Amino acid sequence: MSFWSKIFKSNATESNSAADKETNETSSQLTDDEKQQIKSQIKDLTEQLNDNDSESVASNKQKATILTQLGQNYQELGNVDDAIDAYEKSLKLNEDFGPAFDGLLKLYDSKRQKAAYAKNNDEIQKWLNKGDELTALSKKIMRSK
Amino acid sequence: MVVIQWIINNILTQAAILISLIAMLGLILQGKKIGAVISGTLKTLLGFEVLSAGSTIIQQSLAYFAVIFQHGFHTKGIVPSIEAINGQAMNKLGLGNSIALTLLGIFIVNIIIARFTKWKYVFLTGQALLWMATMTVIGGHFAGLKGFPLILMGSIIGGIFAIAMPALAQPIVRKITGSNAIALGHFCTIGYLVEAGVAWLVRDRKVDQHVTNIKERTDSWEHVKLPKSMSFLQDNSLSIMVVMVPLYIITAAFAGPYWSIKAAGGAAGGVNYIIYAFLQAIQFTVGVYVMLSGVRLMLGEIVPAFRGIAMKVVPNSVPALDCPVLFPYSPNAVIIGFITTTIGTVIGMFLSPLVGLAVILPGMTTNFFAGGTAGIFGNAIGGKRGAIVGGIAHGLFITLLPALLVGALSSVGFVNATATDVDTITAALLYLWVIAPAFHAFG
Repeated sequence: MSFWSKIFKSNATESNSAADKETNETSSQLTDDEKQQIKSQIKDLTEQLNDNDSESVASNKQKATILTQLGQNYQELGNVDDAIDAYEKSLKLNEDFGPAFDGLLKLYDSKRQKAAYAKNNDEIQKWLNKGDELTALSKKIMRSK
Repeated sequence: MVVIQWIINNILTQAAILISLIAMLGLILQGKKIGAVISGTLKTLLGFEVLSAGSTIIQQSLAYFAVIFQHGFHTKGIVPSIEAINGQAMNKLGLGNSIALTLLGIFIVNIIIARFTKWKYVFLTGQALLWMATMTVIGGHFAGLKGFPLILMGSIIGGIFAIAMPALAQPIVRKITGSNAIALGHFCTIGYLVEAGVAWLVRDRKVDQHVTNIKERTDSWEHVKLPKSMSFLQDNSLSIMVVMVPLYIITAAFAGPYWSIKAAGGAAGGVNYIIYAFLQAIQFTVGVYVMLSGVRLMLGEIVPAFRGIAMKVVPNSVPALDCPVLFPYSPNAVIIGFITTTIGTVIGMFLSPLVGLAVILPGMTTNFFAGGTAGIFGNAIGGKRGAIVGGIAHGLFITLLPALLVGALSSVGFVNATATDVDTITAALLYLWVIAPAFHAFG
């Protein structure tokens, strides 16, 4: 392998990012029963979310908690996109530090790594920018504390 | 030949044009469409000019402050502001060109080291890299380097710092975040390690000896309820104003109307000298605000290009991000770190003239971000006591280091300012204390 190709060509065997592997390992470690249990929890939480449609502040916090739990369940199943979606919605309703914030930080990085292996520049930028937004949110939350 | 010489003399020596060309190259390498390439290049050009304008405002205000401080307190009062240093280096000293190329060089050295070694850190905080490029170029300039050697050495030293600092902090960052997914990309890391070291020495040895994650700590500020409302100081402009306004007014009062008006150029527009000092403090704040807007505009196109390339070349990299990324893990320690660091910088301000160093005024923005992050380190390693004692030590450390640089900076023509981020200062001191003497000895 030449110097330049070594620099610009990533190793094909590395195609699974560490974070991605971590997610896959977590979900593959689950038994079918456990998976089924998580799926039924997801169903319950989604129903709770649909029932809880008031717009009050207390309700927003409740909804955020449910969305965070939903995100955690999706993350356990290895369903990264749905987990990100749930966490993002949760943070939108209740801007605070917690599992949604931590979860997003890790999942954005796993998405960024995946995009990097695929050499997809737009996706790399998308996930890096989302990471930047999270850092900006961190400053905003500290300011309101 | 004449044409090439003309291009080199008139175009490539202009920092604004050179840095725009670097941005253009980045945009082309990313495969952007022609419209995006043109708009990105022009934005970078505008950013540089905005930065220069901000730097001029800061310099005018600092020149006034230097005179009133000298006559008010009969000593030199130095404002720690990396923005002011960068602005003066870029414009007044004509080092903009070398800084722009060194910034590019640091990017490249960082990527190469991350690609070929086990240290996979890619430093993504663009602004911090600009400050590092600035300080290595200033250090090299002081050591008598010029042209290509100046840029090459700056790139290598800056690139090594860009890898080494996240790597050194990572064992503690892992304790804080509970994972290896992210690293810390902030050039105040040596200060954080100083705080962690002091915290470790004074820690309560009866508890938390084997914790691997700060969440497990029993002795931690995170279990204490703290009063709110200190955090407004993390707003850059507000925090600068809160310090600069009283500082300028008190200094003007000590200097008296004669010197205050003389410092203002004789007339001060017919305004009362105290009011004039107030307005100058605001001018300083405006200068920093304008400069940082320029930096953001200038780096807005270059940094994404670099990040895109870096991520493709080192897909398994660990991104080193700006310090607020750690705030969620230990928000109370941020407040404690800010308060204790500020106490340390105030003590340092009074102590430094006693040991023959210049008076370094406390810089509130650094105290918040660097102090806050240092607080997280102190709390993670040494619990409540560690965070307090370590924080004060951190405040003293970040006052001492800039003070050591003042003489060298004044000798190459900087007006009344010194740098802030301690890693960049360490890089500059490396030139001053190791590289420059080595050149003199062998050269």
